[in-house]
Amino acid sequence: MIRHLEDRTMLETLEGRGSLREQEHLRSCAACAARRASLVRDLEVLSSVLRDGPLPRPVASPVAARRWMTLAAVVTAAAVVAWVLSGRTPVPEQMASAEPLSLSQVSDAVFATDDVEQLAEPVRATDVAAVQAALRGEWPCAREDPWLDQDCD
Amino acid sequence: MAPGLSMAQRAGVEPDGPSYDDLYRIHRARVLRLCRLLLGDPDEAEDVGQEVFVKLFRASQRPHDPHMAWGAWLTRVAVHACRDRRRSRWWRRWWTAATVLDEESIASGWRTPEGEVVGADQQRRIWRAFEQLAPRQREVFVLRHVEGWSTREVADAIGVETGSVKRHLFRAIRHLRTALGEES
Repeated sequence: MIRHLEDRTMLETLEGRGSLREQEHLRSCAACAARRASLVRDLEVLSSVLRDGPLPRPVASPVAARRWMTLAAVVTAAAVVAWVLSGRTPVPEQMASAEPLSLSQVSDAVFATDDVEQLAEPVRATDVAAVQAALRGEWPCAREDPWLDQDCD
Repeated sequence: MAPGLSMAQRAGVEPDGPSYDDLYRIHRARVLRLCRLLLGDPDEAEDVGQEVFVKLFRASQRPHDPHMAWGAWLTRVAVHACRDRRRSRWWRRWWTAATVLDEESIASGWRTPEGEVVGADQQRRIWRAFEQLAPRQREVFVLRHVEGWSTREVADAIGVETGSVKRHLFRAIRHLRTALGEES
């Protein structure tokens, strides 16, 4: 007499590969025979449903939305980290070792203009007078603005 | 073009073997269902099914044994095509893994060919448990218990040892039976 058959052995006997002793046990043990019959029935139901039964339609679950939201959050976080790290990029060696500019170079650069027409336009006399008057702390009498030129003779 | 000739006959297939049209008509539904079981996604299953029948058409144009077992050939090609698709579209699998079964699409009571009535709840539990199986377990269970192949044939088809097939089969059956025995 052997112990009750394990599930794995039971499956082997279904495939016709159990030993003679196991086959004999199945015939003599009502409990194992009932388990075997249950296994056969379950396999028939499983096979039938999968082979012939109506196929269920898959639909997106809330898990799917959560997955995409997680993915979007990770990508956003990665982009933010990359942006922050790019702001801390050390000054390139060429720029760091450059000689300091002179005042005239800075002046030329700041007041330089690409407007050729503006460069070609002659300086008006009124402009010169206004600058000179401003340097003296006065207001020039250009007589162009009645309100501003009220004090002019 | 001569009327009444099948596509395969027009393509010069052996006249004494089954025509492509015959094979398509006989096996199309089975192959599509096999792909659906292995992939889960109906659209992908349809795509892969088309690929499989394109391969069948090409194979049927080449010289072949008129007594060739096209059914088994189609099953093997479908299993491998599904595996390739699963590997190449991992991102889509990631998405479709997050799908649930439409409860309304399952019939309230379905009678098996053996005459047993399987309730909607039981069907749902079976499909859910089947969806949870690992790809290899699915392949093995489907080939052994849906297609009815022997363990040796399954091992040859998927390129593993019979011991490996038995292990996968045992785990798949244990998982499915657990789901089957669950209370609703």
